[in-house]
Amino acid sequence: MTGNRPGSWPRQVIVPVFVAVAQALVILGPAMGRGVVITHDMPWSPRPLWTPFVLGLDTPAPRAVPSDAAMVLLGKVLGPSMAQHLVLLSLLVGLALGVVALVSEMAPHVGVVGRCVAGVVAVWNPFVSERLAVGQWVVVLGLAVLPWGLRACLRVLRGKPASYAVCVAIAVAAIGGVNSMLLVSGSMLVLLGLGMAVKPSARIARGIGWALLVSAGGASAWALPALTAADGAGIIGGIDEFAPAADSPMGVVGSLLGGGGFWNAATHPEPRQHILIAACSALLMVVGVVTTVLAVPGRRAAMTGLVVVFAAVLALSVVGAARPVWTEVVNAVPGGGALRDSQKLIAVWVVLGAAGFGIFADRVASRLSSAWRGPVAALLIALPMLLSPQLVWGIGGRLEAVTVPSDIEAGLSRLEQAPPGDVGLLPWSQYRRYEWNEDRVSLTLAPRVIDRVVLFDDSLPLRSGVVPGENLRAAAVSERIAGGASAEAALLDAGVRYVAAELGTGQDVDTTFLRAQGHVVVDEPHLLVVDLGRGSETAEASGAVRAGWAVTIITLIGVLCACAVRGVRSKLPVGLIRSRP
Amino acid sequence: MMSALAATVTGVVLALFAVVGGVSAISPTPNAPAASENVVVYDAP
Repeated sequence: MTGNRPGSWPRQVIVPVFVAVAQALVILGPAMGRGVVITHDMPWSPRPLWTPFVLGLDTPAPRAVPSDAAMVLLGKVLGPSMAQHLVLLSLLVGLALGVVALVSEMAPHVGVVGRCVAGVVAVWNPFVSERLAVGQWVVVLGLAVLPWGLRACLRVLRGKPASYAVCVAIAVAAIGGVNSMLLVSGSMLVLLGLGMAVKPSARIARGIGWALLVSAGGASAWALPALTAADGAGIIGGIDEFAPAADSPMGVVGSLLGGGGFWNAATHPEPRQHILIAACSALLMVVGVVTTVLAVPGRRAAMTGLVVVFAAVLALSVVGAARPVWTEVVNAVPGGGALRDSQKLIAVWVVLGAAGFGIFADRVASRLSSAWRGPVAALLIALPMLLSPQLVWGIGGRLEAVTVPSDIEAGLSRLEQAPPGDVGLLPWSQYRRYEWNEDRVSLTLAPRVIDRVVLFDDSLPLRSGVVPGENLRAAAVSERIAGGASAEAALLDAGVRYVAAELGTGQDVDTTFLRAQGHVVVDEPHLLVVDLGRGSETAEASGAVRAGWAVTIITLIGVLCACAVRGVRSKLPVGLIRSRP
Repeated sequence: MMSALAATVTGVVLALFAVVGGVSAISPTPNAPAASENVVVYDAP
């Protein structure tokens, strides 16, 4: 089971790859159909356009940068539907193979069973389920890149020339923006820093230097505008709302131990309401993390420190007595707002847990008699799937590709021909239940499909209240509505040139009132646009935005060129799994 | 004999988790819209 017989390497590569692809298809099945998946924070644009919103020109703290812009680029090459299919599939396959590669680095002699178990645990867990359920693919990107990044760091700590792999991992994470970078760069820098503290070396110092350089460059597109914003960016609300929450009868800590605990109760998997399921998930991860720490001889202190650092940060947001400190951290530290949704920090726990449980499974199976080995191996591979059965076939219908109605496309094309001017968006809320999307909750598509400045309500409506947005102009409209004005009238007062109303979203819009305010440009079943005939704002990139984008693009191209020079193309995932220390 | 016993034990455990988890997983309707809503709530059940 654990032997590394000559000629056995193909099975150790081919079988995990097959498992990774197969399980990704089982999970994403309906998402692989015709059209695009539009759910919660993944309003995938059917029109690949670099709109002001996509480029971060019209908001003080761009959150979809550079991820949306990168997906637009991919969409222009492959088409939006194929681009999304490729991205979602790559995330899950890359995550599974990344953990397999991490196992290979930590315990090279682990056999096929252990590698498959690691790859299955990496994907079939509450973290992936809850984040995918709300379309947070950039967080899953961070999770998927994390094992590759940790693997690169371990190689650096072991004195191998792996600085290029450190740069590649951070550059890929940079595509996802602040959330994926926080997970990947944060974990890698902590691990390298701890390794440096335990056993300093010039190679580790170089690795840290490169990691800092690529992190800073990759983050510039969103960090520079956010840090230099004169209005709005400093306002951080929702700290209590975004704190981890119990998604099982085991409380917040028990839920986090199992890889769950996302604040959004709408994503909590129903099976985790059973104590048996939740307890087994937590036990699995604990066993996995302990095994991982013990499996890295010579680097136990660094690996233990990595877990402790992230647990300590997470504890600040979970323990009530520490909440004032946590609030201060989120508000006072530059970029602290990215920590607000702190549950994502357990990504490190999930990756180490998955890798460790694979090693644990290998050791268990190798100690059994031949009669028990097969059934127990089957049990260990199937167990993670049975602990997260909701993932099967699109998470209960949440991930399903749909076709955007043709009248919306036609209306948007007509709007493109209209004179310049910004667009006020109704209904006055950024979330929709499009009828043609089977009433799934999703962000509005408008800012991603209208190539103009779109003024929309960027506040976050929750069951517990409303988390304020960051756009002061939108906040002024909301104030007028709160003062008794209708949303239509309040938006007219905002000075926009056009008013666009998305229809068939489950929310009322006074279309009669709007039609009477100006010239109707688009009048389709799902979209009404009225030209109010005014001059209005246009989007212009500030110096910080231009500089940020330039630095990020140069950084990513630089890493790409460096990889090409080193001939990394021959070390695609299959090669990385095969490689030995 | 041992092989049969091992397979039976494994099957029972798998079946237990499959029943508990599977029934739960297919029971809810995701994102069912509320009867009436002026604003779509992000964390609506």
